[in-house]
Amino acid sequence: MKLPLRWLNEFVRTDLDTAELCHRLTMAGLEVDAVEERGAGLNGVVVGKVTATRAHPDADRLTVCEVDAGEGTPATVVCGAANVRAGIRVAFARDGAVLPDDRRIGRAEVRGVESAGMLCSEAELGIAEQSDGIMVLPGRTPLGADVAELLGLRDTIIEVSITPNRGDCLSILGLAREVALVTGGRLREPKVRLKESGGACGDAVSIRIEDERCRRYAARIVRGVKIGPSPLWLRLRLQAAGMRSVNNVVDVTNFVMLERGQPLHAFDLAKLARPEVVVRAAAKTKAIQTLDGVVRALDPDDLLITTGDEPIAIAGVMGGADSEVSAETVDLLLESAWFAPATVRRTARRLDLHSEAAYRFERSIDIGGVASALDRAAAMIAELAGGSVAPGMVDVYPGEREADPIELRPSRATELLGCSVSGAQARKVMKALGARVDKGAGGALSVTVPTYRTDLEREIDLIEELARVIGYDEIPTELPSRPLMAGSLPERIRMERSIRQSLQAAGMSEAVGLAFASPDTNRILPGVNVAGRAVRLLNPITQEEPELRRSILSTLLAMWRHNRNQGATAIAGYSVGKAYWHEGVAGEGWRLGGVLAGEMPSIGLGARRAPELGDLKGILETLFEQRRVLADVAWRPGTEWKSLHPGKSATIELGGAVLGVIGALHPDAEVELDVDGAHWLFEIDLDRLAAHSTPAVRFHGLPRYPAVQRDLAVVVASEFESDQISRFVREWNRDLVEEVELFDEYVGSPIAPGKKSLAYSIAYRAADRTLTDEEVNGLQEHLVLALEKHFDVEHRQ
Amino acid sequence: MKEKLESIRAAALAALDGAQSENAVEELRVRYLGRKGELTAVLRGMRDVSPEERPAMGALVNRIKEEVEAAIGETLANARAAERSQRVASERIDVTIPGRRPLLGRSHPLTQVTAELVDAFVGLGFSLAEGPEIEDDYHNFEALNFPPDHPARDMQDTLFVEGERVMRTHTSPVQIRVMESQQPPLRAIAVGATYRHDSDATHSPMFHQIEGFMVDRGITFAHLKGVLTHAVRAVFGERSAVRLRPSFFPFTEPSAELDIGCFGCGGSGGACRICKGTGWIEVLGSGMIDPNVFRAVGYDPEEYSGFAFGIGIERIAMLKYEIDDIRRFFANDLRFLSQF
Repeated sequence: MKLPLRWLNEFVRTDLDTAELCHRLTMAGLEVDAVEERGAGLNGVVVGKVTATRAHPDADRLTVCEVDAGEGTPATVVCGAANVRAGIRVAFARDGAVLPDDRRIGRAEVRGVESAGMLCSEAELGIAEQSDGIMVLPGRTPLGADVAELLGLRDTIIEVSITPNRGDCLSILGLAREVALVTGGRLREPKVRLKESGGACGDAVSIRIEDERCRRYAARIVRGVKIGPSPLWLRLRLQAAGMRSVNNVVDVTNFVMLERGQPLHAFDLAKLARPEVVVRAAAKTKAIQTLDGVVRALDPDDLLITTGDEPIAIAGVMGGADSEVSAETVDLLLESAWFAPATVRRTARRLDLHSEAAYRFERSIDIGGVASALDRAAAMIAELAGGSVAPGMVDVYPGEREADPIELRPSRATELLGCSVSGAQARKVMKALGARVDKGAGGALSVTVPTYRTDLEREIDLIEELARVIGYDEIPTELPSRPLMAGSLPERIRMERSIRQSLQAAGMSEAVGLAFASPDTNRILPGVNVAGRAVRLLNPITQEEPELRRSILSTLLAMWRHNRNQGATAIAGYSVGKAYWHEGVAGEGWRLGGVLAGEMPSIGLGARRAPELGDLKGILETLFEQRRVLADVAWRPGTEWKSLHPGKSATIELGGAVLGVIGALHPDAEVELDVDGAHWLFEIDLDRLAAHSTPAVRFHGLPRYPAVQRDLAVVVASEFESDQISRFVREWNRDLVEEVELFDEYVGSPIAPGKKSLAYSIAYRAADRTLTDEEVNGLQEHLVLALEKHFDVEHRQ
Repeated sequence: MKEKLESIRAAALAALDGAQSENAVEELRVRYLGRKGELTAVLRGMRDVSPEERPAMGALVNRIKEEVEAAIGETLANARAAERSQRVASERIDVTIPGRRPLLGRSHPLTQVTAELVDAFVGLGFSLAEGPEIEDDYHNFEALNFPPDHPARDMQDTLFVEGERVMRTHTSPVQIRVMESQQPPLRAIAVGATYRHDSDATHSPMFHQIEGFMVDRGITFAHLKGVLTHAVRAVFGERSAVRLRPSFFPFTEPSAELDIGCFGCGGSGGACRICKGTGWIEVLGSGMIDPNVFRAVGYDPEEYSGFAFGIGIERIAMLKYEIDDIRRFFANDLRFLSQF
């Protein structure tokens, strides 16, 4: 809400400087967003009188003027406006003047004639958006006077952010009440002087409310108006508050709305089908053309203003085109009403019509101010547009009654605020807010709040007002003395923290991505342990991404592409976040994903190399080892993902259930996802990892006898999975085989094509004795026989 | 024999004196003390010595043998030391060559700020609770005292999900879920992603919040001021100026925004870019939990009271690291990530 200080000063005078006023408003809950010094740059424009004119010798459209600015010697000024003539008083920008758009005016030669300044139009003075010709000032305006000062073009405008509960502050009057409250100033409301004449309003029009969502509807008639432009002061007021001038009648309705917060509407009385206004639900009325020319489809629930069968306005949102005030309008019907906030909000949102009126109705207007705003508007119209106000108003206010009083216990306020609030203090604050205070039961106050404070309904609302007016600074700052409680983090968060450390130590940086994904991405990256289909958004941010991601890898693919496009050669990223799915209902779960692409991330000498599966798998193995679950993890060749390379991917299992996937993209998926080059990626289900229990850590005695190391090399088919032998050897003799490790894989001469050599290092150890060479040699021989029996292997001596 | 021994001794010591390398010393050891060595031969000749002379002669032989052995040991140690110093003198590497190190991965700045805030509140006895991101209207709005069709819902432009669900617009529904399942006293925080239908340089459709609340008998607004001042100073520095000013949130009353003295200009304002000249920076929203919220979860508002607060993590991170555009957090540019 824009608060021009010149306007505010008509309601409450304050000596405070702007900064202090802003501070006090902010500390009272009316946060000041910005302060604008309007017209501050405007300088050196004075009142001048055109004493003589002559045609420019070299240009048809230019006039050479003699301008007297009260200094004795007239200045010669070249002017291009058609309306310049001798005798008028004008806004004269002298040599050195500065206009609101920071344009500096100097002496200049215009087609051979030297011009000592410029005669200004309203547009050039920043008053109008565009103007025909220069501004003509009234005849007696003193020569040489500063135009900005004279017309009030300099103003300070405070932009106040109004919270949704404070609809009463969406007006100059409402803000003036708050200023009076925080400064101790006295509020003065302008008096309305209304002269009535002609046939009574009540004889000319009737009003009927058929829907209880309209609690009050008042109307007045003004006859014989002349539609025209508004006077300068009114246009300046609207402009300062951020609204545009339309014509004198519409401007008055907007002025009164800004002044008092009551939206008004003017109908052209002659265009109403019948002298009867009915407020009702749209029901079977299907559409209305609003005054912006658009035909709006109606919902049966929308609240309408109608006459006969015709809708003439959508209540509180916008008037109809058919009954709009136009240049030919003579008689007006002025509406001032109260409509239920929720219904105005629903309709305005559905139609995407966010008018100033709807904005105020949604935040609830002052039902007690409906009639006075109507009087104010009728009086102003009669003054500015001629015409006469018909005697009386029609005011239908079926449920009129005083608001229920609210009980306020000072003891309760003391309990909640933590500072002592006395009955006298509470009474004083409530009165300052304009409430009536009576004695209640048991030391409580019975508070009747003014009709404009629609936000005050409960005791807690009044306690908040007490705190606000007393000042939050005046409430003590205390730590509660309570029994100690241990703060804790859930296991999942602690796991996440250690995973982050382990991945960062491996050179991977964390990505955080938005949860949105395209259907294509969700198809290509189907996710891990993600059931059903993707979750759809009803109002997505972009049409390209109407779903929630099924796989955290969508974030990492985006990261990969972005950094590649920025020229990065080593991309190593991970992300922890949710995956979402829809299977009857929407579900979500924690996932961890990672990607290694381009070169292995490292700094220092040495050849750069492409990442291998082992690099990423090793990072994951370390992570599993840290969680003490590595022994329960299995890597099964292949995945259910069509987008992963079938020969270069694996399903990661934990305790027999799917934990995740690891591998490289299928070349087709690379094309679809717009990525290429050496890369590996993984995704795992963090919820499943967190749920997998690990045995408590207990110390095992250190071995007392030495281990004996033996190597074993076998030749197998090249597609043979090396892990089979490791697992077999471990199971083959659990007592004596302590460790099996693959240390070499070799392809090439002398190994036959289609074959590979695998070399394992086996550690034998007995718990109760030192194994002899003979014993171990015997074990190795048996092992070779067992391997040859179980697998298609050839022992390599 | 005695003369022979003395001459062997003299010759051995003289030869050792000239020996330079480990090998030369080894040769001398073999020559004198080896199985076929000269001293060994003399020892073998002891058989020919008369029994009377034998003890004295034996003692002499042993003395000379020990003397030669000691001289060999010393010469050997000297030779080795000389070789080491020669090696040291000849070896030189370029120590200015950069180390071969894996790139250090970084956690996301939002993660770092979150952890800092979480740890500050855990230290004050708050426990972390979690809740879903896809919420129902009841937990996200209604139980938090946002009536349907209330303009307060405009403060939180909602992303709607099929099946009458919403992407949670704040972490506050976790408050409701905790209170539904537990009884006071409560001190809890919730943290995570939240969503609004909004996207520009200062608004991201997905952003992060940390939320906290404390419920017990006799909790006051003064306690809210105390705990939040304490926590904010733990994060922003012990000497931060703190002020609270009235605001509005449907689920708290009285409500307050908490500002800290600007750490860019020290509160002096002026042309400061961080606080835009006000001298204050808004860091969190808070308030006493509204009685309607307590009623929604079945607590008696006359018996229990409490306060709640919420912090926008992106906002804190943007202020702390002077980040100009919220979208940078989600572009995941490695040149951005590597700075934190």
